Amino acid sequence: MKRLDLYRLGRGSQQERAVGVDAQVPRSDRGKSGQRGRDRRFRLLEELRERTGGEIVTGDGGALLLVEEHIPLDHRHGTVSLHEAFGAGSERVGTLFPLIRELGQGSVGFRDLLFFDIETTGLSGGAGTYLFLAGFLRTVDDGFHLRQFFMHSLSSERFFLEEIGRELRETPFLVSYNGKSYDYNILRNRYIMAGLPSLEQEPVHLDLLYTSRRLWRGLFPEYTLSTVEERALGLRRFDDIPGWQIPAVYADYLRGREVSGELTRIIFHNRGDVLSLLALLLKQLGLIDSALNAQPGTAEQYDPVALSDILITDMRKEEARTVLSANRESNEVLKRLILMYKRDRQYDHALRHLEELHARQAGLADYLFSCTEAAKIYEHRVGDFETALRYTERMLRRLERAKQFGRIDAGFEQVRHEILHRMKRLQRKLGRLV
Amino acid sequence: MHLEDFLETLKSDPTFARNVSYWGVRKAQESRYSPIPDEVHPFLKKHLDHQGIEQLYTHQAEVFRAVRQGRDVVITTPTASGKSLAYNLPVLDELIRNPDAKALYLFPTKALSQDQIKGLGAFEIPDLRLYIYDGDTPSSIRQSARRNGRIIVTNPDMLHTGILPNHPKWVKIFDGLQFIILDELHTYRGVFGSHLANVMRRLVRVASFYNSKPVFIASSATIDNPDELFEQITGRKPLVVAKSGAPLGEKHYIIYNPPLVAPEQGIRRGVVLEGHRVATRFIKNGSATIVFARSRLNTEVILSYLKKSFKGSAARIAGYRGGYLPNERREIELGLKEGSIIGIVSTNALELGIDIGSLDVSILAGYPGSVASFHQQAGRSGRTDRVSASVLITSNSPLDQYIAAHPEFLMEKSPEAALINPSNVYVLVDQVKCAAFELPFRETEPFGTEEITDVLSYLEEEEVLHCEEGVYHWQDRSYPAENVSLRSASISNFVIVLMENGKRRVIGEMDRESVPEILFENAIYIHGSEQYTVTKLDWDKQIAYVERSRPNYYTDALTKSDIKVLEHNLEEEHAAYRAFLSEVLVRTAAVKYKKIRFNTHENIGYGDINLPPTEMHTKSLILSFQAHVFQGLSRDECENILLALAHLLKNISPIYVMTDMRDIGTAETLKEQVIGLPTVFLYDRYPGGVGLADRLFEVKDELLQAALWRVQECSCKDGCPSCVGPDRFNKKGTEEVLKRILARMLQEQEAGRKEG
Repeated sequence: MKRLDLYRLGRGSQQERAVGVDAQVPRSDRGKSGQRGRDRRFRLLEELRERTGGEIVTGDGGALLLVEEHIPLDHRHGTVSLHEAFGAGSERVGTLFPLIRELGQGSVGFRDLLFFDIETTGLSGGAGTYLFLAGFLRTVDDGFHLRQFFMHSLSSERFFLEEIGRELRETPFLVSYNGKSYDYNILRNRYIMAGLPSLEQEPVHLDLLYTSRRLWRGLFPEYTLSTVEERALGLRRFDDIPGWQIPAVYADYLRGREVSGELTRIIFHNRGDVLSLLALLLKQLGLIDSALNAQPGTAEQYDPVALSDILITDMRKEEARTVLSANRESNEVLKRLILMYKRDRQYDHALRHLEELHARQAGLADYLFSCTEAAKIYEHRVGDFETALRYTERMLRRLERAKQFGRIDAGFEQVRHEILHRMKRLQRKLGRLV
Repeated sequence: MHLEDFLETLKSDPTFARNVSYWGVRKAQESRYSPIPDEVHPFLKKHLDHQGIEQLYTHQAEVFRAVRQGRDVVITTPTASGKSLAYNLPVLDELIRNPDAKALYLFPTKALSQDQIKGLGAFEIPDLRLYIYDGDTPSSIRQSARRNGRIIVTNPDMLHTGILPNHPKWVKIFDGLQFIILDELHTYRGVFGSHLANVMRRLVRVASFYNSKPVFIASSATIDNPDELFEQITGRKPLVVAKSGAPLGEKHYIIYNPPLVAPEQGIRRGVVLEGHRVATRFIKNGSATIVFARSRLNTEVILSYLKKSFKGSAARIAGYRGGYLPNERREIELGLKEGSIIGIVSTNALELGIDIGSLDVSILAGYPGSVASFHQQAGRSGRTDRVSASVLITSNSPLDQYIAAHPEFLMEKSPEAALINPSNVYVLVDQVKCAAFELPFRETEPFGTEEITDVLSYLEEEEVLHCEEGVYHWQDRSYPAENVSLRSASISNFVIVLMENGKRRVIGEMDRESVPEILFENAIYIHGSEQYTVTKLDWDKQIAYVERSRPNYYTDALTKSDIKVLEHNLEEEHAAYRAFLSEVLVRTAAVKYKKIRFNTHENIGYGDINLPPTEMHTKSLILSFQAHVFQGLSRDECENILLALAHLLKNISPIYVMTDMRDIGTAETLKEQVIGLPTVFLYDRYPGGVGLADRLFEVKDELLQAALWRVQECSCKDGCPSCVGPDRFNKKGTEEVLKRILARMLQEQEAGRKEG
């Protein structure tokens, strides 16, 4: 018996277990390689060209489908009008990405950006994950230009990568979603695997996953592109193909199965992703401006603390203060505001806001915060030891009550020790203790 | 009292001496030095000088020279002979000279990695960055390891799932990878070794993609076949460096066979009690002593007994388990050095090359299962300038009793071989998947020394690979290494889920083949000395649900195996038997289980098991005895004797194969289907076989001889656990049958000699 016959026998009934997406596609044409597979693939590519209106490009032993589209200025993506990319704020990409300033690049506008997203044959990365579709979008005079590259076959990879490399080389800034740890890594892997010289000058990478996580912290259940575009851009995709199905479709294409319909949907999906990158960046920049002018209550969803941090890094302290002030009904925001006043040595403002926090019947941690900060300012800045001591005593009472009701365990002794230490010092300063 | 004098008093103390079945003395051996080779880099010379090392041991110099010449080397000198320095020296030397050179160190356990990195770091070579890369490495450090590492210390699992599948990220390491160090090579055996050999094929393949051709340097315990194992794992023929130049002090080897408490049933005092007793005597004498127990539970028990015996100075006795943190270990090491600790009880965690300092006496409470383990544990005691001793306390098991009667197996050249089968088709198919994920295969490209065109086209049929223009590419969305465990050949494992306080927690995994025997509903599952009851077994989802419980019994499944021969690979006909090495299909059904009370081992009830039979393809040694061997015996007698033979052969086989005897399955039949003879099957319990059956086929005559000796030497009357098994077996009949077999074999040999 041949060893693989034994293997099949040994595996026995286990084989039926492997049911995945692939099971949806008939398995009748298993392992059809060679000439026939190649002919079918070419026919499929031709079909795809017709469906997408693209163009087949060949050279250097490979082939790819290039789909190009001009997207006009007045295009809307979700609730975002893309023409904002030509608006007043469009030169201020650096607001969101301090990295740009660190590099000493002055004002960076939309024309300097290349939006970029890829589709792959697997979702876990690693050397065996191939890249088969890459979409690029850049700003031109009268709108946007989208270019999508679809790899015809695995043996076309070298040619495909070189063509993509040309796109990348012309750009100083790359915008992606999670591309720093995924898309660009795959691209780098593929260059190494194909034996191509590495992309010599890597573009500066601006990743919208990080800014999305920051700006909308705690507001969305997860930060995948599809959730963020739904929540933040109000985008509903029509007849979209779920991302996890994509690898199997391309595998079927390689094996010559009739999947040009699904492939068209993948190309459209990738177009949507790239447009979402553009819209998302516009949205985030817009958020910073609108937050400054918004009336309380009507504002967009965002995390004021994160936004104020962004503004502070952008040297826009007063605007940051405005954002915090407008949202100070949240204890977190109020605390941030207090610390900001304190850092700026505006102790009267800090104390006024501390009174406000103190009066809010806040939870234990916030109560302790307000007392500690107030006591510190009264002791060290105002020199009013009496008031400082009063705050410290209040804090101790509250702490002990909390302990009594079992609301505190870890760290109790530590906090109590600190309070007693402060009390002793204050009493000494007041001459009540030798 | 000096240990030397104390040993003399033991010799003349009848309460001790009457239980000693062997007492041998290994004479002290002077060190043999070799000057530090001139080529050694001045920086390393300076370091050695600081350490007070003026010369190298001969084997260290030999390794240095061989590696400098580009040879692949395996070092098999004894425990504590300075093996690490032997392989570190040439590696560091090259790394200092050549700033592009890199080295990859593989250790089978994390604790060993920690120890080694300490040793390597001690050289304090500027700009030579060392990294441990394992599951505990934080991601920030991982990146730095990939970028700046010159030496990467890792383990086989991490190499398999983390490094190789992501090799483009490791381009800096693979560019210029010059050395691969495999420590404790003998631990890579069975299914683990079979996988590892394939991981090495992948490693070599990836390295050559980056134009690197690393040298392999391995260290191994003393086994019968270090060169063969090395070659199977690395694909290269090694230089074997076996002659140690390290000094040895005088050492006493004592085999202590506990007294019989029920001579008729062959029952002896247990190794736990005796281990404690013997250890107490040595510790009372002031000798620094380590006791090795065979399980975690035994470790705990002996430890608590010893602490009780040394009330008032209990702090001088320490336990040592696997999973101790480095600082806990350091404390124990320090305690030993300073003399504040005098007794240690350990599981085999210490066996693998971890240096804990020198001890006077090592006590092995039970034979550790292999000669290599025996020497590693016994080697824990020993100083170069003083007498030391090792006491092996033998248990009731046939193997232990065999060794008590035949100490030559421990003391002379080890007959045991570390066996692997890199061509195991289950392992191979999985590993080719992983390899194809890492780099496409050309149509006729071999995998190491293996032709794999059949595997490649099979995987294309399965639509895991895709062939274009004569190149097979990975084409599946999965990440294959994630689904391939190096430690099992099983296609799919069951997970064991503990339901507690409404929460589910996975506490373990088990290979599919063992599930019907161990995880049936109502089974008592013992894991990490905790007991659980299996409440539900979901066969389709492959989950066993368990809850904590503390019954006073454990469960033992009664299984029935049917064997279907698929194909004979080898065949021999002799006067006493016909032997085959065959591909077989083992169909195992568990139908009932016994409840057995702890301690007394009495049977306190039965239950049913309702599970489908499992089928496994593997390799088997088949021994079909000629009709005259069983002549004049009743059917019942024949059946019992076949059972006894299977039991004996299986239990003695670890003398020749480094394996746990649970890895060998047995079956017997009065009438083999085709040839109609009474037959015993000894099969490999890993799908496809990992080489156990092949080795058993080679040593079948020796096994039969050993089986006869065991029966003849056993002091029991009608059979006991130490020979043919519990009393329902026919000891006399078994002895008679074995005698007939051996007599025929002898005749045949003599006839052969005359003819020859």
